[in-house]
Amino acid sequence: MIDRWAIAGALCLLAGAGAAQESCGGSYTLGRGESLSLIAERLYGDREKWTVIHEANRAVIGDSPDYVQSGQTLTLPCLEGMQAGDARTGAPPEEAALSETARSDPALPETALPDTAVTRAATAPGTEPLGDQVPPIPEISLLVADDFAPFTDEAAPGGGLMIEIAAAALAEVVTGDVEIVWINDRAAHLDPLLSEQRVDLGLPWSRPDCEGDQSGETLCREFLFSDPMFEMLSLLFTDVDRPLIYLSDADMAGHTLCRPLGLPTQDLDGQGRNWVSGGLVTLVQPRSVAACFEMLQAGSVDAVALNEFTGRAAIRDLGLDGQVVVLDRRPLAVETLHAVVSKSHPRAEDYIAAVNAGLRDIRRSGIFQQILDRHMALVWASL
Amino acid sequence: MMRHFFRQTVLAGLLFGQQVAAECDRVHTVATDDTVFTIAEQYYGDHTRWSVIYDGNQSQLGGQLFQLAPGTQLTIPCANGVGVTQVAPLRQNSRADMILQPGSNFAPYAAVDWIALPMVAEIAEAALALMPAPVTYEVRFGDGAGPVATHEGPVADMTFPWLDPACATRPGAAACAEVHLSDPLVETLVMVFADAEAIFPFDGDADLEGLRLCRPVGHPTQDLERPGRGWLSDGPVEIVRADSTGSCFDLLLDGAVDAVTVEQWIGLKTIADRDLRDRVVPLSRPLSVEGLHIAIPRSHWRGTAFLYRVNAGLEALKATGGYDEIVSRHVARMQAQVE
Repeated sequence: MIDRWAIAGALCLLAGAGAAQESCGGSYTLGRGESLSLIAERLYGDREKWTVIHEANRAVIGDSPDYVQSGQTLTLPCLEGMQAGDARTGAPPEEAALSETARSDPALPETALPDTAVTRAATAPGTEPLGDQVPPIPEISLLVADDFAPFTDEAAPGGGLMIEIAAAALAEVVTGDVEIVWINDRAAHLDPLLSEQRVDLGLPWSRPDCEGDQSGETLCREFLFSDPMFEMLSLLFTDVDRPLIYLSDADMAGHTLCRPLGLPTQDLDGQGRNWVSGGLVTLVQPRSVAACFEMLQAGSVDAVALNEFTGRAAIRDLGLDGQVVVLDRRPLAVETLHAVVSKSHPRAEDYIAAVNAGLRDIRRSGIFQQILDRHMALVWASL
Repeated sequence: MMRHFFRQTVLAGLLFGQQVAAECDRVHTVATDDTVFTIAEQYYGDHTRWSVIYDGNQSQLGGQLFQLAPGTQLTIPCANGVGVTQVAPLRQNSRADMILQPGSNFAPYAAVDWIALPMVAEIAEAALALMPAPVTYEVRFGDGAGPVATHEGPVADMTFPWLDPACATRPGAAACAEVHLSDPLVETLVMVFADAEAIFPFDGDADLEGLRLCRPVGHPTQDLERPGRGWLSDGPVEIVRADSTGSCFDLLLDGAVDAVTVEQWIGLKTIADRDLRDRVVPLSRPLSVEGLHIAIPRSHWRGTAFLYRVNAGLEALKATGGYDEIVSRHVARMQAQVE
């Protein structure tokens, strides 16, 4: 193994001395319209390596890889395994996968290598090797709550879309069991269950704008977020008999909104709104989604503020078709769903890296889309 | 000969440019009884150029050609493209978060030789530039457009331009369950082209009863079979299918059909390419007005969020006036191609 590692390193040096000098070490100034994946494709021959460039340049780019600007100068890491995985060097993908694993922990005995990297190369010839350095994870637990259809819902196939996706992603990188822990008191998830590491990962949580405002301060400060697994709209649901005009944020002043307890509220306070924190809006937080819609029917709240899918599923299940107006042309926010881990967890970084590596794997293999196809067909057929 | 012809063309262009500059690039306030035809006559001296008015003011006209709301402000586009602004080139990314490329539920509308496609693409691009909660995006178009899907899965996140599969009246249509459709990027007109020697009045569907209409194979027919118009199933209009738009015009000139009905720019371009301008003419009202949309798979992990971004971007584009600018510039370009 060590020999292979050395060979891969030498390949990198050779490449660095030649035409691909720029691609191994050195700096790169972003041109107009260039993205990290574009540069990774051009310089490393693998667009998935944008993560490496991002990691090495967080100080310049910030946490969001999407907001790079032309003129920014990036440092390009020289990674021994990288050039071996580049088709231009001619090294077979199996070697690339093995050498990369070895590089990440050269002292690792061969028998302890994660099977995943090797078996994937063997069972999926021609596909790209696992390009991520994920230390072995023997087992992991995942904390979820019911009443969040179609994402985490005990009645749904596989427990819901997010559980199937997270489980499939983790199956790629975890050698042992992935335990799903159902605790329906969502308000206890972040603290104490995750903060005290009684469960490893929380799922799913919408990511606040950690760079932009203070609405998600606690979440951003105390938790790490995986790459996004789903994106959706946060909407207002109103009573057909009591129309609510929402054309601009100012229209919300004085209204009472309902959001089930335990779901984050950064969409109500973010984007400079401070509706709840500033007292402009009264927020009611009952324990269930159904309770919110009952309050809407009873006239005790002006709108239910909830993601479009959970809200529409509730309208269907509660038989409220025609009685609730969905303000889908003017969403409160666009939200992404993520797995989270407490920064206090000793393996926080490893776990997020593992989820992200698994997600990239199932996106590449098509498993991600297969799961979505199955769940979304059910979702849209039932609405 | 060649040089002489060239000089003549340039001169004609200059003259045309001066003549039109005096009458265009201005606002017309709709008066009672104005139609797009009277307005075209007034500004261009040619009522057959009504589509320049229509296409340049789609958002204000909303499908109306005759009953225009008095007081509506219409832009009178410069038909030769004088004084238009340049827009930024397409943004390039190897894998942007959002990739839009041609692909359609009806092939002719996504074909690279459809001269209106660049207009649709530019509107889409300009709308995406104004999307809320922005993500990186790329509009692949022309040579850059590849397959929509490979064995590894979909390449593009969204495709355009799609005709509305009219799910309300045809709930069985497969597309209804599979895609979200954006608001229309443009509305395109399906015209009736007749033999110049045998023009007939066309004020409504009743005028077509007993006639034979040619619609090329591969072109959509949903406008021929809709509530109140069951021509494919019941008649009384006979629909003839020919291999291509050109074949339809051959049938028309042979007297085998009474009219050809295709999307206006497809029809006008075919007429120009075959040098049939003196022999075939479009009748002065459309048979159908069809919206063209962006389609996003319902199983996309960002499907509804992308739909929102597209629609909100389009709304912003119309509000800024950029929409009308793009349409007038392209209409001028297309008009030049078919004249």
